[in-house]
Amino acid sequence: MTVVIRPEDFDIATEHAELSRANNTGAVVIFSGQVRPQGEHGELVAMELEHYPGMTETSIAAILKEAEQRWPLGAVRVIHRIGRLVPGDNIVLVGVAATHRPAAFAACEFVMDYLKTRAPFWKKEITKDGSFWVEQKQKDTEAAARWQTDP
Amino acid sequence: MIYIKYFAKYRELMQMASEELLSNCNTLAALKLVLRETYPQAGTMLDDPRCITAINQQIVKSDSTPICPGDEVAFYPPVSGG
Repeated sequence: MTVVIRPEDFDIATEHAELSRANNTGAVVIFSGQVRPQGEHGELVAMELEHYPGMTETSIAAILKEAEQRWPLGAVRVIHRIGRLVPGDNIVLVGVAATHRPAAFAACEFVMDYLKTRAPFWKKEITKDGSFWVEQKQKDTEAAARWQTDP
Repeated sequence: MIYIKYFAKYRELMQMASEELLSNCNTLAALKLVLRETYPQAGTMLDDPRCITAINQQIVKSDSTPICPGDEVAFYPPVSGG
């Protein structure tokens, strides 16, 4: 497993090539999230991402370990950017390689849902009218909760 | 020495990202009391039911959790990454 927290962008083709090389890979699922032009408080000028160094890495590693226990995975990678991003910029990549696609699809969703609700990152939307902290969303909490009853 | 960290909106509220507190408090409750007495704005954070506390990067729920010299105590709001 690989966890990378950094300001720099990622290249999806490079990440895909890396995942493809995992043992007996037949399926690769990659999710990437990017900054929307429209935030909760209007048009975005930028998005600032803050994290808790150390705890972020260990909490994501724990999520990936849990994913590896639930599904047979060849490889799993998370890259999460921090710092100041602008609309259209990549924020996060979750990539999973497995022998068959059901495990790859499920594990990718699982990691993303847990990342949204457990990993200590915070987003701040910068608009021309001011800046606003992004609140955790109920639908994200619900999305993560389903994994507790439906392994 | 206790190492305290504040994140996101609490970092802004407390007007600092971290501080070192020379204190002999031995539980989370005692530390919170010190913070309340030191900073008038700390109540806004500590009274927020959604405020998350982590000691040595592990989330704790109980105010009776012990704190020892050298511990890192973090206060942060619900996360919003991804």
